[in-house]
Amino acid sequence: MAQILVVDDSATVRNEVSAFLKGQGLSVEVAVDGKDGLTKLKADSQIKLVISDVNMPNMDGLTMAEKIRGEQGNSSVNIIMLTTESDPRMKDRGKAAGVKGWIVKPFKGDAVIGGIRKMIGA
Amino acid sequence: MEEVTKIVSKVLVHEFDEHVLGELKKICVANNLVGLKDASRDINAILSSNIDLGAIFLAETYDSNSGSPSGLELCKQINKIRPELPIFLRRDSESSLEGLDPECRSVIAGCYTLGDMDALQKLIDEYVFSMYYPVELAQGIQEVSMQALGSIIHNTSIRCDLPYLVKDQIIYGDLFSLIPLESSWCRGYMMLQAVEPSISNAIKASNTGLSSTDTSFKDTNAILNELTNMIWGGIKARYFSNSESLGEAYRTQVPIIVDHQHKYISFGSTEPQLCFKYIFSDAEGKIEDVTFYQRLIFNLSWSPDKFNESNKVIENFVESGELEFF
Repeated sequence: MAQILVVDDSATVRNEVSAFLKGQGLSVEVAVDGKDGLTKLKADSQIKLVISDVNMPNMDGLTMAEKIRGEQGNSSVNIIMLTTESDPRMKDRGKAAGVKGWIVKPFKGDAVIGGIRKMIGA
Repeated sequence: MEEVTKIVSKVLVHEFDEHVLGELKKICVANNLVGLKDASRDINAILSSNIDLGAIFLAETYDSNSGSPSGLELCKQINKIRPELPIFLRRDSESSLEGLDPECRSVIAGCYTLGDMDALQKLIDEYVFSMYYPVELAQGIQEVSMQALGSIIHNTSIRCDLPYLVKDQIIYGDLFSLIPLESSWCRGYMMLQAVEPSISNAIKASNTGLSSTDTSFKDTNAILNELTNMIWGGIKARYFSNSESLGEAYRTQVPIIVDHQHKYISFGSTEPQLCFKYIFSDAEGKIEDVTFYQRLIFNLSWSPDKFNESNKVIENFVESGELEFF
């Protein structure tokens, strides 16, 4: 059971983000790509927020977001993209897929923890 | 960090006459060339330890006391081990290949005499600075890269020398990444090179976000992977956001050859590559410096006249690391 799912193919980012969130008293699950993220999200109904990279092998983060809303029919989970991408066209695709927020890497925990807590009601 | 006000290139000067060295020094200064004097007189040792050269200056004849083989013999030797490096040959009589044997003619980029330094200037323009890289672009890439490097490797100071152009294609270290750089004004690759044990030491010293125990080669690969990704993202956001979608016309490709035995990589182009060297020093001195070499190889398309920083990014600017709500 976790409150937040961190999806990133980079072990460095997975470790840094989940360590920070755990240090804030939040429970975290991790996934290595979009495909893994869909599986982990389906298996844990307690997840309230997905923080995902965009560029990943096997399945990218935006496709995963589209599938969460579409195939899985999950309209309640919040999705934030944590990515090096900042192209407005990419963000537009995210908005259309139901993404609620966008963070351009690097991850600065102190700058975003307030917004994250607000999203998961913690 | 040195402020980027110019782009330089390193050249190996295999000359021993003080008067000649003085004349070459003048042309090096005028052209932003960093001349490496071959004090050891062992050119093979120099070539094997310098991975970032732009050209080699040789003389046709040497003082018999110099201990060097003849200049023409050296040309042939150098061409065998570093065929990508242009050789500029100083002759006593004329600035042409006249009278040289066919093998020498095929391995020498061109000739000059001390009385005809214009010929050398033409060779430098043609071979060392044949591609124009805007200083603003080099400055921006350095800034983006320093920010990414600093966010992945902590508790260190980073320094970066002036960006420079290289012609050689030697691989530094035992680990490198490649990622395509594609826009309407450039196409090529960014290569990030490193020595694996030095990154591993940084992980063990808790200078990264990874666990400092039970490190493996996968951890060092993960660091290089994320560094590459972040620098790529920064370059893309800063310089490629205004680019129109790439059409089929941009889809040409050329094979990349990696020769592990000779630690050599070829992108099919012999044009000079834009390079940066970053050195991390641990704040507490717990580990040795960690060095990264960054190379940008625009082998498929290069139109610097169309280069401009992305206005859209500036207009829609959101600080990296901040959460932008939709």
